[in-house]
Amino acid sequence: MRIVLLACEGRHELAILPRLVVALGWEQRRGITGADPESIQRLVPQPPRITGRDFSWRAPPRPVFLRRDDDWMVVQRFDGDQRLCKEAPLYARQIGSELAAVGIVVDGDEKGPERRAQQFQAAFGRESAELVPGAVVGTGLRLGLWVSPDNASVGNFDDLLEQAARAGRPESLQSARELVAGDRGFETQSEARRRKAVLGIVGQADVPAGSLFDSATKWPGWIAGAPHAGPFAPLCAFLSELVRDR
Amino acid sequence: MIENLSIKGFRGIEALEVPRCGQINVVVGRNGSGKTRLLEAAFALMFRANAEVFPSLAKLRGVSQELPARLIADNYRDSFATRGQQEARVAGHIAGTRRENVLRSLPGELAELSVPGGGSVGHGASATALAVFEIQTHESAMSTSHGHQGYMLSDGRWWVPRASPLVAGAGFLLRTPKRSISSSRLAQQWTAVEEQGAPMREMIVDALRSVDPGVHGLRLVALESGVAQLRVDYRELGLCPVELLGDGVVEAIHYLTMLVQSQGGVVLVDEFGTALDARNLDIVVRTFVATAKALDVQLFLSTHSLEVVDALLADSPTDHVLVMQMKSDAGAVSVETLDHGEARSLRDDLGFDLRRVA
Repeated sequence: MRIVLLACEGRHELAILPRLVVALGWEQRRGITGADPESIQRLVPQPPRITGRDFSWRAPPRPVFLRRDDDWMVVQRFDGDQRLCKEAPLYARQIGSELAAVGIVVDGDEKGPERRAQQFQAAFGRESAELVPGAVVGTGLRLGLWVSPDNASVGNFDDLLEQAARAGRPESLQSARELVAGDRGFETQSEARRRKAVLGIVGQADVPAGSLFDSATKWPGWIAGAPHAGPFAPLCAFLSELVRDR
Repeated sequence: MIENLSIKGFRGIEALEVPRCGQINVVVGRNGSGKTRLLEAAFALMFRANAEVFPSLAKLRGVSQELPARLIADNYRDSFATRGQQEARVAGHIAGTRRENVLRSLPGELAELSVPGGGSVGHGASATALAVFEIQTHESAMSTSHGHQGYMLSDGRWWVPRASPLVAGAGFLLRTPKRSISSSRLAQQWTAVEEQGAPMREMIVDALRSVDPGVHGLRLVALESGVAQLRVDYRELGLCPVELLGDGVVEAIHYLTMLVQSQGGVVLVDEFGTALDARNLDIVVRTFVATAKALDVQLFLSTHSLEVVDALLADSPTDHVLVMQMKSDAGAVSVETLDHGEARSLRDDLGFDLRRVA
């Protein structure tokens, strides 16, 4: 049995990345049962008791589990690049010897994708194997890094989503932008949050009252309708390399 | 304070390195993963110079208290070494800064003491000692080696104490408090609490009251035979022997008073918190940890309870808790250590059940 960990920053990645992996022939699990392997069961979060904790405490995120034959993939979000850098190596250590590969999907920043590669290479203690943005390297435990949107430019995962919306749902995208621009409630929000709102509305246009996750799952046309040809094609190729049996 | 442990051929553990220990060490893992054996190794390290170490370990495992110590030593000695190995070896670094602990065990005429690896104890410098404990299983009589342990006196002679003064207050708790704790033993421990003064006494009584509101106070009484006994002033019952109370209160009394008696030493607790309701764990753990910190006591606690792990992580000062995850794979025992920050990230942010080791 092999386990692949796909570590990402936020909710949008957690909603979309499993759809791309499903397009590669994996089955997304809706729940983990006692019949599943112990090493997978223990990755289901068990929240601590609330007693003694302040109101800023939040419930741990639920990972998404995918399976193909005996192989498992765990997609987990870490809420930001700093926490991902700190907690993903800990998470990987807890998975143990069955961990075959770790994929990191992180947003690009002004310092460039090479700096990101150095950052995560050091976090995972892999000084010997040179981590390259967009590639999967190493023997034994393999390590892969994807710097959104394209391993070269400054941007983030929402850029990829926006490209997909522009190609697959141009009318919805335009309407959502107008809606957000005309709503005074968004005036005090940051540009990044307004963009997230636009993308959320595009998702909900397909599945009214649903989430972006519902949209991607039940109506995948604008996200993963053609994963090997659309804006997500390079990312799909990266994921395909990550899950490849070595 | 035990800083690290190196175990070879001890109680079925071929080889195990514990590279670091914290002030509060929580040992978790499945049944048979080596939690108790790790505590026993730490116990053996602390009492390496004490000929009673085998009978003590055997009794902790449930061997009849009535058997003579010599009989236990002869019959159980081999069980503490892995079959086929000539010797069981437990080594580790012990560091301490408590000058009074060292001075307490000194012969009265010695005014100054030099400690290997440190400066003059008389001037408050830290003391460091490397201890080596060897069990020669092929000999009929047990022997211990003090090759690297001891203190250089001011006249150049080496002085090897019978029990290391750095761990002079070390204690060990049993897993079945109701059957193994007597009120006369608790009386000794309560005497140590009384010596600390009223604030310590009140803190402990407050914690006990939150476990069982019926507890009004504790008092030492002398029986006709001259034996001291600890009694609890309990609601309408008046002063009653501790053994008659519920397991949770007895366990809490034992934990808290043992800490005070073990000032400057190491306390090992197997199956911590088994008799305590989860709702009472918070206050007991908070008091336990605060007392351990105030009295400079190092703790090794093994547990199967996730509530205990949560309470220790939530209520302990940052960087004081080290989680040791024990694993046994085809007989090979290994340990993964998580410092306080790592354990809290895994537990609070990612929801890992730290007891379920990969």
